[in-house]
Amino acid sequence: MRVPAATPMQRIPVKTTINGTDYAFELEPRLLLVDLIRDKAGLKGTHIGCDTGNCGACTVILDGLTVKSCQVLAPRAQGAEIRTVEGLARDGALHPIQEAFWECDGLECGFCTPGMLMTTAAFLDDNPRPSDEEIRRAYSGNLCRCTGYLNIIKAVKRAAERMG
Amino acid sequence: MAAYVGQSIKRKESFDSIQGRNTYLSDVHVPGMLHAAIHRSPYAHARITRVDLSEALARPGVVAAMSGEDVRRLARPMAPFPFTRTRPYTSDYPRVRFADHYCLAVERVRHVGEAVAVVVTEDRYAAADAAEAVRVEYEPLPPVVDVEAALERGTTRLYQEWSDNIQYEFRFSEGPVDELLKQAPVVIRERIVQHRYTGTPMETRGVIASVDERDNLLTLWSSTQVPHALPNLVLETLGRADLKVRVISPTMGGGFGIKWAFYPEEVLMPLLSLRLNRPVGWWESRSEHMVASHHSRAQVDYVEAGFDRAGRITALKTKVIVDLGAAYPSGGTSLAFVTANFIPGPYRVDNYSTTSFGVVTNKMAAGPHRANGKAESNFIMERVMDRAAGELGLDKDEIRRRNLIQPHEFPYTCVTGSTYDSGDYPACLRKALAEADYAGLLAERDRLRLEGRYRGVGLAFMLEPLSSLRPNAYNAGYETVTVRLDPVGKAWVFSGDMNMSASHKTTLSQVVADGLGVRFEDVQVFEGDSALVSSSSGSYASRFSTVTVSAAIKACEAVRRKMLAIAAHTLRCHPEALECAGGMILDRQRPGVALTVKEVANMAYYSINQLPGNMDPGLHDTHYFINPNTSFEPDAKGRTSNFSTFPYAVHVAYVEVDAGTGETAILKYLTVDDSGNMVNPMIVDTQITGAISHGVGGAFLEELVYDEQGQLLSGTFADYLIPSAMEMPDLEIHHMVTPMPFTPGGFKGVGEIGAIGPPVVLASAIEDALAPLGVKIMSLPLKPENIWRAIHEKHNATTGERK
Repeated sequence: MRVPAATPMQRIPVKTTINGTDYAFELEPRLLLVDLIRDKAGLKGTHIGCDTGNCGACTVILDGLTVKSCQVLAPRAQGAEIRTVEGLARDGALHPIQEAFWECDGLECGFCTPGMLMTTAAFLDDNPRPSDEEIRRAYSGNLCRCTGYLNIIKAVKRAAERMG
Repeated sequence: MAAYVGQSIKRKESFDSIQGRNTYLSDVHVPGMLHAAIHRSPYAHARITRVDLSEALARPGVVAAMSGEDVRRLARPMAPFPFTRTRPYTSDYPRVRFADHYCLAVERVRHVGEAVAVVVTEDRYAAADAAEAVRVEYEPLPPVVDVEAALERGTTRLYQEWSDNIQYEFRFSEGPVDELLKQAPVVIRERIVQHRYTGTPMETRGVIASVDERDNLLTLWSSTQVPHALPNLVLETLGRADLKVRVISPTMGGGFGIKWAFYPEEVLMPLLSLRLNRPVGWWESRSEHMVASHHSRAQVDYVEAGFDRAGRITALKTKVIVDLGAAYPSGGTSLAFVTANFIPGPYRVDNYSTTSFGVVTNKMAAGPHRANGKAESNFIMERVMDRAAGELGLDKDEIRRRNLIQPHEFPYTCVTGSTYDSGDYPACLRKALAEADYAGLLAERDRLRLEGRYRGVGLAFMLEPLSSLRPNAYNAGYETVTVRLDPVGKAWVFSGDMNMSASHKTTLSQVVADGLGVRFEDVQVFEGDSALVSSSSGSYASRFSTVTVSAAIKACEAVRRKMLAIAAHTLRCHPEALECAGGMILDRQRPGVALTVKEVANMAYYSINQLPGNMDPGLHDTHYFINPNTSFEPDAKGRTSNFSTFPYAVHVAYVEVDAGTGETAILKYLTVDDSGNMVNPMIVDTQITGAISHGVGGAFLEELVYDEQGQLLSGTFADYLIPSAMEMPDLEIHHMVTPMPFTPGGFKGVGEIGAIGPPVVLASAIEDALAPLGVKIMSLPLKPENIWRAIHEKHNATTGERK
């Protein structure tokens, strides 16, 4: 949801850390966090699938909590640590969550996948041994139009086993 | 030798996806790109009396703005799609009309969300601001919303140049249908309403145009399923004979048919780019998508079916009225054609007549959506079968068994002229009943019914015509694949098909690795670019496995033949003595005598003096694989055969309905599917699961609701609900395999059939659950409120109460 501009728009400084890299921007205060991540930081892995916060394709982790970055204004990133899909793999090695999604065929077109993976990263931190029912509930804010979710549920369980 | 085909190999595509490295349309960066935003109509039907762009143009950063009048001066009405302007059929029916729609509305708007004006700025946020500053004055006209009212004589017409609101009309009749209906001891007569819903891929649409003046080259990036049709459509609409057009469709975040169309933005961006001499891009918000990307499924059907005492269909008569929305080139007319042709489905129907109308209304245009017209045709026939079972006192499985086409009858020419290729329908039904423990479910249902619980068992048999063609249309019905073995022995594959999400790279790599005898890792697949091959019908009707894979197999055969001829010449043996696998060419009779594919490839390009006879250098082939088992020419009865193959499935669902709330819980959901041979069974199962989730959404959640003013009430994902993990039932997936007899690999196709089942089988199950209340379920969706209302209407009718 874009906030209408009051012209001329002031710009405010925002310093933030994404995947361990420090960034400093001068931003329109109405800029959405997802656009900061995609357009200002150039991290295109975070996607926009709706404009009402329903689909979860833009899910990132902000100071340890998942947020839908299309529902957060970019100035909120001031001083925050943000983690996106680009921060999952380390030194060229895939994260166990990424491996599990790949092995279990937990994706097709891949558009919702970055959001799914970030939800998984935060979810398994809180609940390392989830039941099917807990997984279904935890992912109800991440929509996928390709897989029908069953392989995603399998992937989350496999990731939990690997990380356990 | 099949080393890779038939294996559940992990998908190549996923490696980039799980790292967020794909380039979707909105990730494409073209230096110097301007951003366009579109001002859309708030009215369903109105005369445009004035468009004032001055306030928008005065806003900061605005580079240009255009209205429909500007477009009318610069371009032609949008070219028709999928039919070309050439008269598509030689017979009287189908009749098709085209409407002159420009890429921005001229004089009139005909649906909420129709593009009226465009603004172009340096910045995306500023573009949206400026689009809001466009001032348009409208004179509202009476909206045509109800599709049956749209058919009535004297009603408001959408297009003044038309005599009525009928865009498409198809009629067919075989046998003395009316007479047989009069004689039939049991006749089912029903009106069926199927609701409007659509594919809503997670990625919305987007378009970027860029012009290279020196080369007169227009490059168009579009999230389209038809990258090869678009250059023709854009050029015809621009009326620019001097231009060349290249269309690139980047990684697609789902399509499901919604991106099989010619959309206004696909000519609007080129127009702006040509005028401003800078790249111009637009990507759709979800709210725009809901009003401006095509809808599907909505139709009202009338059906009369005669049965003899043994439960066999004697005659079938249908009237199909498809709600097409505005007549944009969205390919929606096929909905009326496909539905009407395939209502008889998997059953022997010798006497059939149908009248099918595609009717325009003041709504967003309708077009294909996963199982286009087939979800609808199967729903109609399966509701009829359940109803007839009830009337005749037969079990649901028994009435189907008595009418199914038998295995010895294939290839079977159905009453409307298509040839069903292969299958064993009774075996599929048997297997489904056994796997589901159908008898056990019925017994449990009966036991719990005594306790006052509403359990029901649903059964549905689906037939899915797929891989289609049309005369004088962009879906001409063949696919083009080039296979090249390079000088170091790596395989390069160029396909005209467009991957929506169905793992073309992985499956083509499997097929080509086997076809050439090279390693899976050594195959590189390219698609989604009109520069790659000369022509393609694009991605639709699950045609990839039928025609694209077949084209690849045939191209590999030619390359392999040449490769083995070179090897045989070098090794001094017959080519038949050689076999090729894993990058090695081996002489079967002489162990140890071998060449690598790389060595042969190197010779083919660089040691051409060592090639046999007058052989040309190189190892490559381009194959055009034409839809098998089809005919363009009408037969003696005037029938055409437009589909190549007919996969089928049986779905069984066991549900419990809460009669107090109308809510349905799915306790068991099972499918047995025959899609022929499988390239990659894992991918097949994911396709089936995903397709079933579309069907579950369509059955319970998704509905594009228009009010009587033609306003869309479900215009965001907050109102238009697609299934989440909470709503998706667990599935049991089983397979049968009857190889497709008319393709080299025996593959059929699997992308859509799952989407047909849920509305059909859940209607069957809910009706069964509510049988003690005598509730009939003849319409969609099966939302709790609708089921609750059906229960209460029945109750009130029985008790004589009024609301």
